[in-house]
Amino acid sequence: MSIDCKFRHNDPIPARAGIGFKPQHFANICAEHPDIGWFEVHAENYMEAGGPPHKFLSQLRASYPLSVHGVGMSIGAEMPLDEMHLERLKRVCERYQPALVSEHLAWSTHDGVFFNDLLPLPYTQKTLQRVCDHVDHIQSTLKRQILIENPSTYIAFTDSEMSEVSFLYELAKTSGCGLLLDVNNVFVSATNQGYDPLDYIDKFPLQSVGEIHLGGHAVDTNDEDCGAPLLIDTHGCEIADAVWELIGQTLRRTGPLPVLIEWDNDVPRWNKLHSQAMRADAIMQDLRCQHDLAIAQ
Amino acid sequence: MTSPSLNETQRDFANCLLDHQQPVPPGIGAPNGSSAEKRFSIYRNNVVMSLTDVLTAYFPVVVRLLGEEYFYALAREFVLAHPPATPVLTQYGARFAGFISSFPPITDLPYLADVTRLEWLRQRAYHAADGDALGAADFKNVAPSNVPRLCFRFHPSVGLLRSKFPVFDIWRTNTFDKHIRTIPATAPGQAVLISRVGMSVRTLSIEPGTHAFIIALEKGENLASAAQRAFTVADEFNLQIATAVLINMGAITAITEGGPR
Repeated sequence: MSIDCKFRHNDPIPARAGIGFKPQHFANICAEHPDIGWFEVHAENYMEAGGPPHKFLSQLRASYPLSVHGVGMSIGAEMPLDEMHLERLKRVCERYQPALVSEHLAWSTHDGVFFNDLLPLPYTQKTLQRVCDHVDHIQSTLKRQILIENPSTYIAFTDSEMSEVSFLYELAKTSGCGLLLDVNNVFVSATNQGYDPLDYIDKFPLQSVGEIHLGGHAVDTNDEDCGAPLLIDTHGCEIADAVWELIGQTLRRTGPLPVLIEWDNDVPRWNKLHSQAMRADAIMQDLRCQHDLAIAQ
Repeated sequence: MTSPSLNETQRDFANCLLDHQQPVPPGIGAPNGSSAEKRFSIYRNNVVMSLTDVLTAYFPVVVRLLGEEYFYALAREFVLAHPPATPVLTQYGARFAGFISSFPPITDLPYLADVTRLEWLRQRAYHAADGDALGAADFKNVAPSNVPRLCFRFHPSVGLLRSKFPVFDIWRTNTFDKHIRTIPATAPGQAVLISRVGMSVRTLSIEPGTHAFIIALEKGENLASAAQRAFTVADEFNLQIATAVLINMGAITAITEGGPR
């Protein structure tokens, strides 16, 4: 099984829809050579010595631009970064030469324990300094800019001194990192925290955004307290209509960007995932047409 | 009062993630009029469920033997007692077999720990470093007089297990059979050889003599010395068959000559 090599090694990520790669779709991708702009993988799935995962990814990389998305660097931790893990991330980047590398504004490790969740942190001057130092260290080790993603959150810290948007703005300004805007995370957090998602987008430093994420969320129906809505970022279903609406409004402000479709749990058949990517591409195609029309007039 | 340091906040948060009896740490608010306990439980649940999913994927036969509901309860106990020490989750689960063997409520399934070990070896074999296995043709140029002094280097994916229980038969029927056979736990114990050939992990039941033979070879002993050890374990040990098994399993990546060790 193999994929024809159509792309050069250092292709940038195009301003199109990409798909989060799942090994169960490898056979479909080989058979159909789908017209997908790019693929993204989780760095941590390619940190072992050998075996099928590396074979899949090598073949995929030969045919499509690639983005590497880390889920374990824990840049929001007060404790020092795990140097061994950073070395592993560096090796993945050297081996697969991704066009984009990204991580999360979150922590996931404390005192040697990895929690496998993206945990929130208070937004203060002190934590900003810490995150800036960590991002700086990663960027100088990898010798490249990375993108940092806004989290989905369920709680708030009473000692936060600034908004998440201000925090990310300062982080990008100070560390020189780019930002990954997860529009589903914006919608989930805004609902859970009780603010307007479009207001968040309007205040977001959109000029720093290098990539957009789109995934599905679940609605918690067991919320027995005040009846306030509670959304959970599951990446386990289709993207909600309200999030499609929000991505349309976001892209009207930014213009076309690399937009990733993420579906990590209860992974669907390839065609279903592909159709979500086509929907994102269609939104951007419409924008280009409207833009061309506006110029023509 | 000064606000806690980030390290203190994260220490308290981390403790509460693993100890579900503890109240939510101070400084955590539930926006939108919800309860902090309820909101914090989402993080607790994410930790347990996401890591349970990892274990479910690595130990499918243990899931079948215990049933999903019991497995989830067991996985939860394991996750809270032994959370991962690395973000590379393909390495998570090495301690699961040991945990199962000392978990009092399931001591009536004495073979379960060895089934867990077998599945863990398969998981490790899947991710082991690549290596080019030798085929039968690679042995053609070896002079017969040199054969006793040959030493083998093994493929990084090779794993061995010896159990007091019919662990291979239990694994096989629960993996392949539509109607799962009942394997009496009192049936003779089995040894298992695991190796990855290309993209697929292979699992094979081997004779006790062959098991002793491979163990000796792995330690660097030559064929004559390893065969001798095999004969002390099993009179019926057959050197040719055992070597053919290793070649068929893609287990050998290099031959060298060595004196007796």
